[in-house]
Parts: sequence; C-alpha cells; structure tokens
Amino acid sequence: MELLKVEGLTVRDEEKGETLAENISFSLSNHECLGIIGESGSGKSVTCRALLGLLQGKLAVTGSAAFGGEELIKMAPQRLREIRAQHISLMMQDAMNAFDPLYTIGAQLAETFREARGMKRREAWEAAAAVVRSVGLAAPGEDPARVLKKYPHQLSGGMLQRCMTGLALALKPEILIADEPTTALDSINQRAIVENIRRLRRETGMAVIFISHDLGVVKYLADRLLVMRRGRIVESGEASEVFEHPQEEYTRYLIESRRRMSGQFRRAVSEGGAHD
Amino acid sequence: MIEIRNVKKSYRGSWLSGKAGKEVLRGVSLTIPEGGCTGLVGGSGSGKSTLARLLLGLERPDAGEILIEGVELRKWRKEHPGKMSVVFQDYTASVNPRYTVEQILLEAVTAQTGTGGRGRKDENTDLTEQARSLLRDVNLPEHLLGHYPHELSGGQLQRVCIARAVAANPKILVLDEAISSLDVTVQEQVLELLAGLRKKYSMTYLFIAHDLQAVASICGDIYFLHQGVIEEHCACRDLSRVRSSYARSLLDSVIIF
Ligand SMILES: Nc1ncnc2c1ncn2[C@@H]1O[C@H](COP(=O)(O)OP(=O)(O)O)[C@@H](O)[C@H]1O
Ligand SMILES: Nc1ncnc2c1ncn2[C@@H]1O[C@H](COP(=O)(O)OP(=O)(O)O)[C@@H](O)[C@H]1O
Ligand SMILES: [Mg+2]
Ligand SMILES: [Mg+2]
Repeated sequence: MELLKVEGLTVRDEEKGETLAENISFSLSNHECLGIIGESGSGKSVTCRALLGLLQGKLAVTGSAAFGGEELIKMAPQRLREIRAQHISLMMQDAMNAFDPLYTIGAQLAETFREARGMKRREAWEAAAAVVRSVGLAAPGEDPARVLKKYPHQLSGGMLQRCMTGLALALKPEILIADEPTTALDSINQRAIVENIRRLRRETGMAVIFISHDLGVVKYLADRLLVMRRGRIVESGEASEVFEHPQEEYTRYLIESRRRMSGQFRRAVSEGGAHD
Repeated sequence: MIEIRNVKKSYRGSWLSGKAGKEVLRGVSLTIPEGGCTGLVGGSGSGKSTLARLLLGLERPDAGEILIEGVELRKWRKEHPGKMSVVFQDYTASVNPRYTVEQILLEAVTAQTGTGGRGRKDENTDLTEQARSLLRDVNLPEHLLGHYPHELSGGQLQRVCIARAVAANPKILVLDEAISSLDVTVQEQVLELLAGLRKKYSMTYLFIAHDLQAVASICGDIYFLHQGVIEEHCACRDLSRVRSSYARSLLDSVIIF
C-alpha cells in the first residue's frame, strides 16, 4: 500500500534566487525503507523538512506530497502538528538540541506522550519508562527512573540519541524519517538504533526514510535508494541494485570512496579469521 | 615518542549547572612511537577530548605524567614552541570569521617568528608565497587565499585548518574528530592528505575518532577508551583478535560497507 507519494517537490530560496531541492519525486509503501544518500548540502534535510512543514525561514515549497489522501504541502499548521505527533515522526542528528537542558529526560518524554497521546500524568511516566527500557538504557529489573531523572547534559550523546529513537518508535508512527541519526555515534550506539528501527519495521510495518552518509548502514536498512546531488535526484532504484551496479558516475564515486576508506578495516577483520 | 603514564583527571561538580563531579580519566597510559599514527577510539563522553587537552597542555592532569622525547610535557613545550598542533572537529568555530584564508594561515606562521615555521628559513621569503605553499600542501587552489571562511565548503575549511596546523612545522599533530563532520568522499580525501603530510614532514599523530573504520584506515595501532579507562591496545592488523568485551562489542557492532 502506498503511504506517501511525493511529486515534483521543489524548495526555493526566493531571496537568494537559489533552488535547494528541485523536482523531487518518490513514493513510499508500507513497511518499506527508502535510503537517501548524497553529499552534504545536496538538499536531503530540506526535502524531508519540507514534507513535515518544518522548514525555517522564507522558503517557497511547490509540488505535492500526498499522505493517505491528504496533501502535506500547504496543509494547515494545526493538522500538520497532528500528523507529526501521530503519523510521521522525525528523528534528527543532534539529539542534544532536541532536548531542553532545563528539564529532566523523563519530564520531556512524558510531556510528549501527554501531548501526542492525551495520556494522564502517571500513564505518560510509565510510557517514558518503557522508552528507556526499549532502547536498552535500563536492563530488565533495573529502575528506569535512574535515567529518567537525569538532565540532558548528564547523559552522553549516544544515550540521548537512543532516548530520541525510543521516543520516535514508541509513538508508533506509520512513517519514521531519520535524518542522519547515527552519524555522531560510536558503533555500539549506532547499532542499537539501527536494530531498533529494524525491529519496529518488523513489528508494526512502519515505513522509514533513512538519510545517512554511512553507506554501510544505508545498505543494511534500505530497500530502495535515492542518490542526491545539488538539490536533485541523480539516481534511484532498488538499493541492492544501485550499490552493486551504480549507473551514475557520482554514485560510483561515493561508493568507491567509502569502500577505499573501509578497506583496511574489512581486511583486518576478515583476514584475522576466527571472528565469531 | 609520546608517553602518557597513568594520567588521571576529574572535573569538579557545580551546583549552579547541576553537574556532578566526575573522574573522567581514571589512570590512562598510552605510548605513541616517534613518527607513528596512533588511534584513540571510544564512545562520546569516554574522555577522548579530555586526554587530547592534557596532551596539548591546555589542562593539567591531577595525577600521572606526560613525557615527550623523555622530557616532561611543559618543559618540552617551552623548549619546542609551536611543535605541537591540533585540528578539532568544529572547523567553523576554530577560525576567525573576519580573517581571509591568507590571514588565517599567516597568523599561524608569524606567531612562530624565529622558531622555524615551515618555509621561514629565509627571512625575506614572501609571506604570501608561504601561504600559497601551505595551500598546495592541502590540495587547495591558490585563489582561495582571498576568501573568507563562510565562502568555503566544510571540506575546504577543514583543509585550511589542517594547513594552519602544519604551518609552524609541528612534530606532533593531535586530530580530535578532525574528519567527523565531513562527507564520506571528503573524509576519504582528507585521510589521504593527512597520511601524505605525515610522511612528508615526519610528524607523529594522535588520531581521535569514533568511527573505527576511519581509524583503521590511517592508524598503525589503536587504543580503546571506555569510561576513562584504556580497555585494550592493539595493532590495526590484529583488530580481529581484540579480547576485552568493550573493544569486542565496538568491533562487532560495526556495520561494514
Ligand atoms: N532554512 C533554510 N534557509 C535557506 N537555505 C537553507 C535552509 N536550510 C538549508 N538551506 C540550504 O539548502 C541547501 C541544502 O541543505 P540541506 O538539505 O540541509 O543539505 P543536506 O543534504 O546536507 O541535508 C544548502 O545549501 C543549505 O545551505
Ligand atoms: N570542562 C569540563 N567540566 C566538567 N566536565 C567536563 C569538562 N570537560 C569534559 N567533561 C566531562 O568529561 C567527560 C568526557 O568528556 P570528553 O573528554 O569530551 O569525551 P569525548 O571526547 O570522549 O566525547 C564527559 O562526561 C564530559 O561531560
Ligand atoms: Mg542534512
Ligand atoms: Mg570529544
């Protein structure tokens, strides 16, 4: 079933006369994961933010984005807020900035549940505790309050990002848009987030738009792939097909660069043999 | 050779910010061979940048010692001013936005007056020529000399920071997440550039990053730092044989491309 259909999405900065994203089209089905890769500044974030009405500043958005019969572009802000709370979650790179430094993690998670789900105080606190458990920040039998009562600066970037993932997933959206959620993280935290996303796809059929320049992670998650450059889609297709047989020179360059960089690691790990 | 011996560092808590006191480095020892490139990996908050600041002499350890060529750090720094340099992750914050690229580079050269900055052998050497040669070192076109930081891409600006770091002909270069905010393709170029510069100028690197694949591509050996403790040290080619549970799970979690 088609969940989201984007057609001819274009974002322009009228003041500077620049086009930030041009004629972007793609569709997303139930359960599907669409990976977006491309150099920084190529319009990946702008595209996703445009869908959710989250662009800052004076930018002109044209084109169409249909979500279950409703048009997202130019949708009334109130309805968009509902969509974001109940149907499409956004997860960003910088979890540190997503939390307010003056409130505890628990208070902020609970507040989100009260707003988005209309939960009562106690129920919302329970939901917040479940978030912390679901992303492995409190082992079974361990008191999640230990994490919930902390302020953002008392947790590492990786732990905050895991809280964000847990929250995004607990809201059980139909679509999760993850904008470079693992770029700043060590491999353990990165893996935890990636596996959580996979689990939710399995369990709820959630669809995912996953933006990253970590090609390894994208290859692991994505069914289909968009390659962006300078505001345009330069290549798209089945992820495995694009990774195996890239058609465009730019895609080949991206893939070869990362292969070269990971080569030493790949050899060390595979030659070392006994890796169980 | 750099020898870090049983170094400890705590930060005091503050009731104002609600921060609790914390022992960030709990007895860290690490050795970097002359001319080597040693990697330091660990999760965020593990103490990597704190160790970098101690090595750079920006802060002092509570206990333990740091020796360079067998000499205590502070003494060595006095005897070799400008011979240790650093590149940080946040390149936009580390340059003066009102300086042109040329001014940024020359500030580093002239700050070392009389101490043998690279290309300063001849007092009459045209300063602009020095800036040009630094730009060539990092594969940037000369016309960028007149540009301001905001007119450069992230990759270009980070190269300027690298050029500035090597301007004073350092022996030791500390790279703290120097490539972490760059694109994949740019990361690969910058890693190659750094490897080339190290050979050309016989520098010693401490390369800090959270991306194990990047570290493995440039370093000879790797230290694994976890919650202020070195959990393991191994040569890159022996990476698959790490034993400590932290290094093991870091390694096993990598999603290889
Ligand atoms: N709110 C905004 N106003 C004006 N320009 C913007 C805005 N957000 C992003 N841009 C510009 O749009 C281009 C694409 O940015 P972005 O989508 O963030 O790239 P990325 O592919 O790295 O996510 C960049 O040139 C960026 O500077
Ligand atoms: N100046 C400081 N005052 C108080 N705490 C600090 C200070 N600098 C670092 N810390 C704390 O020390 C720990 C290690 O930080 P850091 O060395 O930056 O880690 P890393 O670079 O590995 O991410 C963190 O918990 C951080 O909050
Ligand atoms: Mg982006
Ligand atoms: Mg750091």
